[in-house]
Amino acid sequence: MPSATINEGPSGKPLLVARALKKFYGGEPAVRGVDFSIEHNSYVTLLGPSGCGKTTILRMIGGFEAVSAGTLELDQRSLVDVSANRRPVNTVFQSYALFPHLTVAENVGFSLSLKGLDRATIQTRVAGALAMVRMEAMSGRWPRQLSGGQQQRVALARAIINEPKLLLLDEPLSALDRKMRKDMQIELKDLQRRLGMTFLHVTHDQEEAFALSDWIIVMNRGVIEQQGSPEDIYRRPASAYVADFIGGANLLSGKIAGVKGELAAIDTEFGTIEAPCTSGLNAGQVASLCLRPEQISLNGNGRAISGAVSHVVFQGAESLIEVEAGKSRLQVRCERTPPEVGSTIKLTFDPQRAWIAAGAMGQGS
Amino acid sequence: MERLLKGYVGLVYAFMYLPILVVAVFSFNASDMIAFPLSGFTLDWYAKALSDTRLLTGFGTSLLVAVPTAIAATALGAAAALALTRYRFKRKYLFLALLVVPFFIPRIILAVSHLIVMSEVGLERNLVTVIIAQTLIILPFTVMVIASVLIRLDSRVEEAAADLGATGWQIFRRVQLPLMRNGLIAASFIAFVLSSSEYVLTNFVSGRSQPLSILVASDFRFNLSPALDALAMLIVLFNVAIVVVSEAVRMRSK
Amino acid sequence: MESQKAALTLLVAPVVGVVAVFCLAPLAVLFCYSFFHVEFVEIAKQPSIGNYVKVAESETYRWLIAKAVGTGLSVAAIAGVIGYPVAFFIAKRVVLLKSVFLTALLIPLYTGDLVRIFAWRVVLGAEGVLNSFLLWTGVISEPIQALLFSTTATLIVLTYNYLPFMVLGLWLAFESLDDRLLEAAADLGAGRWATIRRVILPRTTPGLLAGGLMVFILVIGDYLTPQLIGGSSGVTVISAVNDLFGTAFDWPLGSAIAWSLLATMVALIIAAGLLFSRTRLGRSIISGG
Repeated sequence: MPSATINEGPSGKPLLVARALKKFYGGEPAVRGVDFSIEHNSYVTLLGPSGCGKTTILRMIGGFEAVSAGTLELDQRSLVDVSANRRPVNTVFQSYALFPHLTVAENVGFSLSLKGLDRATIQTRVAGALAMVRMEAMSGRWPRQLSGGQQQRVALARAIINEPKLLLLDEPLSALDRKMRKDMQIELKDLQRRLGMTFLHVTHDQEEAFALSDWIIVMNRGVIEQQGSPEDIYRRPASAYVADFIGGANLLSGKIAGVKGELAAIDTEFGTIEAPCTSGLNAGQVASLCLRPEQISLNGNGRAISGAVSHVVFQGAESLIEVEAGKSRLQVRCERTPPEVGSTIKLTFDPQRAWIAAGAMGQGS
Repeated sequence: MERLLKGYVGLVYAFMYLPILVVAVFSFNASDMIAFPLSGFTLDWYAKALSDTRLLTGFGTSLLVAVPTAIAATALGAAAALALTRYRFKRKYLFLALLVVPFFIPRIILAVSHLIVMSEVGLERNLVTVIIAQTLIILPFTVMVIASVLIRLDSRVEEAAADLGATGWQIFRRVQLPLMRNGLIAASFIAFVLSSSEYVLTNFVSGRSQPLSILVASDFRFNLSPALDALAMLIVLFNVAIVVVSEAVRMRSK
Repeated sequence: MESQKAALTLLVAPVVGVVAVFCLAPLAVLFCYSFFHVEFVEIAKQPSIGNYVKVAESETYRWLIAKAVGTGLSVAAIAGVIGYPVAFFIAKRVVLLKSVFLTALLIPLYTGDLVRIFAWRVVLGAEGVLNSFLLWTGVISEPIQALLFSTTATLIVLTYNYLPFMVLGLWLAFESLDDRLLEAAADLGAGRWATIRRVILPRTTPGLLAGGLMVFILVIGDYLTPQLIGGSSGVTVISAVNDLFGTAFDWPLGSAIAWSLLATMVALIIAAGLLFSRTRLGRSIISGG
């Protein structure tokens, strides 16, 4: 399996390793056997739509859900029989879950006071943690007096004060508005670098995943569709599902006519097209040709498809044009004055920059 | 249409308060007869009610029942409310049904069942049996009050505490207990009120020492006097004061 | 997780234990007693179904059980009609003082059975407040005897006693009724009555049923109100049970009547539930609509 070659820990082994990890709820599978590893000091994202099992995996790592089958190891020690309160892992909850009966400082110092540390030590470390998230001024406030973004920072400070080996973040930005979300993304990434801590972040937002991650794990229906660096996932999607979920590619489905090394030929409704392909494809298999909107040009050179313009969406600097060609609808970017709706135009693309991924949309991949 | 609705709701509330209002008016009326026209203002009836030593002893016995009942119903109610609101488990509906069954069993039937069991095991009727029976009936109310406080909390606070290293006991002691404190206070007050005004079970299961509610009942079967008006008013005021205070406490919890 | 399970057991076990030992077990013993019979002044413990035969053959007991069911249904219906607009008002028209309105509704409940009944006797008695007020103002020249100690009086006080439960059940249903549904109905051209009949009523039926169920059960179990307000009409199946355990000393027969009543109630509730679940509305609610 692929593995990130980012900073390795002192042991040279990954921080967290999951093998054939499964979770059933009364017979219903939520996670169907996933394998992945997380390197030391990396920012990893579990990305997928709601109900894909990503939060369940996070909760198994946190110790809030029992593991149904498979192994889960942190620093080569099994986590399976370790209760949540004994794991060197802390969580930032989606709802923040701040204790409403404690002040900001008491919330942040909660884990230290459980350990029975003396008051002066707790105070110093709480101040340090709050400074990390720029919330020093709020230490005497109650959680209900804080805005969503401020509660988020307190939850972060509370989770990092104990210096966990792994910080879990469960959709931490989903309750914030768009502007705040952008700012927090930068801060999260920055915080992870400054702390040198490993972050595992769950989200359904692909933009967020791209902005933050060293490594992305794309999930769908309880299985991992693909994992890799953000660039890998975008340029070389393993399946039609990933291509569509990440950045919305145009997909032309068809059967594989043949495979030659890193190239494959696919029979689409516009004829046979040869393009670079994902590994493991075989002749006769259903696959999809992925064309990103920016890879298609109007009246350029290369392979051509003609179709009728059905919609034009003005997007400021450029326009997004939808073209009906055969049974397909293709989206194309256009920086000039867009063509009229109803007019017939010629679309061109370079097959060498296209990509063939396994499966087709609307069927299990 | 809106005004019609307002008027109608006002009428229903008036209906709910009419009897209490009437009792209040006649507890201050200077006449033996509880009838119109009113004949003047007096506090004699309150003096009479408060000087009746028999009734005061009854009040003492009421406390003897109501205080332990309030404590037991609140403790059990807290356990049940925590289980219902803060944990996932199969058969939650069965557990909920079990909680409300005693409240819905006709009280006389519950009372005669206790009577049979006590005679079978050779126990005399006593206040302990009253306390147990009342605790059962009041339990759904305390569960409701405490659960209404717990249900408003973030469902992840216990997980957050465990995540930060708290053991089961520490979660209870440092998170759950402080968070439901107001609910506990409100529930115990309401349990106290319900217990001290409960008649049927008390009558049936209690032995010789007679709580206030039974004395009042035997009195007003035979003679309706304005002194009873005054006594009823005192009970109402006492109960309402406790309920209002406990509601205020419950609402304050955020 | 394991520690979670332990904590849950610790919380659930005492409650289950107390209810089992002090409610379910005594009811089971009561059930056993219903098969015994009385010889002279002793209770003979040879099981037979004689008591149930007696209950089934006795017109009086059959009538008393039917009367209990009838009273329960009537009061539930009356409380439903009276409470419906009140619940709507609290849920949809009151904004700031919602909890005050609800608490104010419940306060009469906390005055205790006895004080409530006492107050109604003062209001309704032949020489009571209502009669003397009407005489004094000259509306009537003779006191209305039928005010107290009548079926009407019993129904009034029973409704008074249990109306808050009905309003609570309905209020919950109205709270969960999305205002946007009403706006959507109006937007689609439904008038006031069409909205009530086709949107509000169906969506609040579960609340109506829950409230009605509570009132029904509590009315059947009410011993004091018919006794102290109903006069000669105040004989109920519950008071019959009470008498058999008191002066009449026939515990086994009393147990059999008690269990016949419980069985009737449970059967009716199950039947109503089944009937409701077979309607279109019931199916849509069960399937999570």
